[in-house]
Amino acid sequence: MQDIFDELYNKINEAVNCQDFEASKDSILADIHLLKQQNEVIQFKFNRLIKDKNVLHSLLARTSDDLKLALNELSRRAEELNTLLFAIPALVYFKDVKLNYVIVNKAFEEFCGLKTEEIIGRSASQVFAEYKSIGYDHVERQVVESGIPVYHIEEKITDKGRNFILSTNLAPVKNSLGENIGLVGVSWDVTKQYEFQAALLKAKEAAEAGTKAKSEFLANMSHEIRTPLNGIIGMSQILGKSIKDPKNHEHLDIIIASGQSLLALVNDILDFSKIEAGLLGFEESDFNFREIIREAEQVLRVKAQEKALSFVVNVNPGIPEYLKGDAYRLKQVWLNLANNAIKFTEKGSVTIDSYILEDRGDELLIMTRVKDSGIGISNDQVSRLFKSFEQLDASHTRKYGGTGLGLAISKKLVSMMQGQIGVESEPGVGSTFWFTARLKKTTHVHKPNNNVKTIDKETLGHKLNVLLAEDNLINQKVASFSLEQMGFTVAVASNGRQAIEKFRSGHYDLILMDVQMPEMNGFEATREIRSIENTNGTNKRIPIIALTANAMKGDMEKCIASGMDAYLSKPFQQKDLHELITHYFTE
Amino acid sequence: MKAKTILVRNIINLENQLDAITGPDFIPCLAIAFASVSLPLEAFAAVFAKHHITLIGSSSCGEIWADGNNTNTTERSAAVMLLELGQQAYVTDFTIDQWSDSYQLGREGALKLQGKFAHQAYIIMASGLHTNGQALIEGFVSIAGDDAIIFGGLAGDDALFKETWVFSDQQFSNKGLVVLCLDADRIAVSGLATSGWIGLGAVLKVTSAKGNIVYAIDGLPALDVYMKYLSVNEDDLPSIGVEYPLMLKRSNGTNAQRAVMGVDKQARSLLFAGTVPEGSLVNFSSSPGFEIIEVTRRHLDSFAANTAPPECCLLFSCMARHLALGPLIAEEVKIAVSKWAVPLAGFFTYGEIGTNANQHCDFFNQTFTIVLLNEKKE
Repeated sequence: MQDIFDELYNKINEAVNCQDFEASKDSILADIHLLKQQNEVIQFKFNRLIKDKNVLHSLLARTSDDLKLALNELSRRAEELNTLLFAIPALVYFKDVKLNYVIVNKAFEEFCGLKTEEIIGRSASQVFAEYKSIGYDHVERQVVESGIPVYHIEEKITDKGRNFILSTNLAPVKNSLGENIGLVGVSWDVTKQYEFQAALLKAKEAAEAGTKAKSEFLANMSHEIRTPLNGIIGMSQILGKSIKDPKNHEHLDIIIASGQSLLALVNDILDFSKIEAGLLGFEESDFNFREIIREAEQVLRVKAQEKALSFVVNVNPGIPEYLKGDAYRLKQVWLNLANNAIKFTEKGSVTIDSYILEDRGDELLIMTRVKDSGIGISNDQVSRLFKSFEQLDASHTRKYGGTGLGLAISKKLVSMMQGQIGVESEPGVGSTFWFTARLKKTTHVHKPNNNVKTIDKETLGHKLNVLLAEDNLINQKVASFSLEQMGFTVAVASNGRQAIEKFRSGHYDLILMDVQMPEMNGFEATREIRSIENTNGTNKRIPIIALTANAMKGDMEKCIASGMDAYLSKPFQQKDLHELITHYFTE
Repeated sequence: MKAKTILVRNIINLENQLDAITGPDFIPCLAIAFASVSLPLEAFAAVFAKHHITLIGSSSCGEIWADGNNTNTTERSAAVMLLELGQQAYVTDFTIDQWSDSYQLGREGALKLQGKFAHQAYIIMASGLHTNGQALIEGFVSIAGDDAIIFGGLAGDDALFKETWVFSDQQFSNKGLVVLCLDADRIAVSGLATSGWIGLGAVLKVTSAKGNIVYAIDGLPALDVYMKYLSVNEDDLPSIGVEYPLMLKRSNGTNAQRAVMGVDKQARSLLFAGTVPEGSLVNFSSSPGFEIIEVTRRHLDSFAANTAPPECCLLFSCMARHLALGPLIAEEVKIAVSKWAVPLAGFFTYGEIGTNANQHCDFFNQTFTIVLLNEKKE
């Protein structure tokens, strides 16, 4: 600006001192005009700068205020976060990519008994004097590199002579550009839980051992109770053949009936305790549905006839011949409901229908309805019906007998078959008990064993030679008598080894094999016999029927697996054995 | 194509100059005029009608004129570009915003001109205070296409911020759109928009806005934000908001200035020349000083190096540049004039329309937008 004034001053001087003003007037005035313009620009720039300065000063001052506020807010939040981090009741730490601690919280400090300054910038092995890395460093590096968190790592740490187990979660940390900058870890001291868990595991093992012992005890009890019962019933039946006096015969019948009641009772209690102990086995195999129902029907037909009841059993033709499931348990439920119906019906009929309720392609839900014209049940009684040890009227127990466990057992069995059980009833009119069972479809077509078939009718025409392997003397006697009465010739072996010897030396058409025997049990003996048959290469296969105390879990499978053809539950009824033998030798 | 420019002080002066310029060797058929609201615009237009010259134009906030040698930036005058070119090379159109919707206005304007030529280029002017320039462009390109060649400006009113006009030789409107549609196969149209404005201070968030009206920034009333950050009074707006517009950081990566065009003191809201979407980030911006002229020079140099010399130029320069550069604005105009030495007419605008960094048509404030017209030789 001073330059312009100086220039102007010079121009004015030039004009004043000019010799010929007129001649140089235009040039001087043009110069002065130019100076004026330059002055205007400078004036504008000056004003503009002041305006800009004011506005920008204000803008920067406000921005600075904003920054201060933001900084305050940030530090307040940082403070909060810090407080929070320190209060977290777990070991929290942030490690950089070199796996050195960057941030740790209070709990971490306390855990290792060091101050933050002594931890920051150091690695785990520097912080924990006795820290032995068993691959944790590797896991941490993997988390940082892969960017994938890892949960529940168990870290075993020894520090100052103490052993710790930490459960640790690790998560990768990235900055806003997505670069890995380290990891954050959260660890809990689970040493106590570990000790507790170990104790629990021991307790569990002990409990399991106890359960196993109970299971074995039940199996033995089953055997031990049935054996004398078998004797009582069997011998009584044999005795009956020689008693002529009607009075004595009546007494004997009472003994037999009582024995059978006791057997049923023992079976119920046994089943129930197995259910309670979770020991009830469930055997899935292919079976002929109609055959199972027919077998069950035959058991009850006599009873129904005795009471002059109409007893009708229908199986819907839509139900396939063969299905897969536990035929034994299905039959048990069927028998229980049918037996109850006959038991509580004085006159009229019992009708049982089975049909398909639902077809899911690979499995069927089969409904069985047992309709009677019996005494019926009132609504409030229905709810108690399927509970253990409940009979509707205490007097019923005396009148109709039974343990009151039947329906409770049936309910459990049905639920094992993924079905339901229920009743619709009207007192005085009758009841309809029903149950459903989910059974799988099977492509299996049952074919009788060809080798067995070769024995055929001609063999049956002769006296069958039966080898009975049984260690219990009473059982030996009962079985022998039964078999002889059926017209068979019986040879007895007291254990598996004897059975094999007899099999080698003699000619038998059939073996009845007890499962539990001293020296060598039935399974081993059967395997040995089958192996002998193979070595001989005679292409002959002797039918072996297992005699088991009761179908404990897995027994049936074991029988079949060892090479037996069928099994009978002891004490066997003559007619059951007869049926089975007829099955093998007449078809 | 023949082009001549005149700078007009009044109606008589216009008549005289038209008579003087028209002769056997120059018979203009089209005029593009930028006139101060201080002139009687109806009488002004009538002169062109009388001379059978098709007219399009807008009111201005200062006029720019050059005849190839001399340059002038004036006020209270009119700068007129007179063109002699084949009648088949152009169409003009005038649309009034009867929808109060700038998008619809742009759309309707483009619809009427759809398919006039195989390839089209547009020079458009719209009423400045009435129009959301961003919405207008969006509406226009919704028909004309994203890559349409469009240049132009929003009409001014000598910084009175009262009424801004567009006109033809037949029509006037303070809420209209006037378009010159050129056959791009015959007349090449290209141009450049350059700003030089820089963002300053904290980045703020627009917390409440609708179209080009901003209600709140960072949760505070928009008017109060301006007053607080710039330490100014209510009455300093909108003009201070033209010099220190918001710099809008857009999601496509481009920045655009948004100048304040109006104030609602009751609602404490501000009306901007273009859309300011709610949720967008903004900061204040300012010319960094007189070096914006150097920015213009640099951009023009590289633009000229890649562009054929024109036969005439139009210039749409933001009124804020005039305020920021004062007497030095003439220097900036001279850069363009000296580069090609062709007739140039232009005005200081309330908003410019041109091509952005992504080569798409866009709406700006604070820019120096130059448009080059060139008849393609067979």
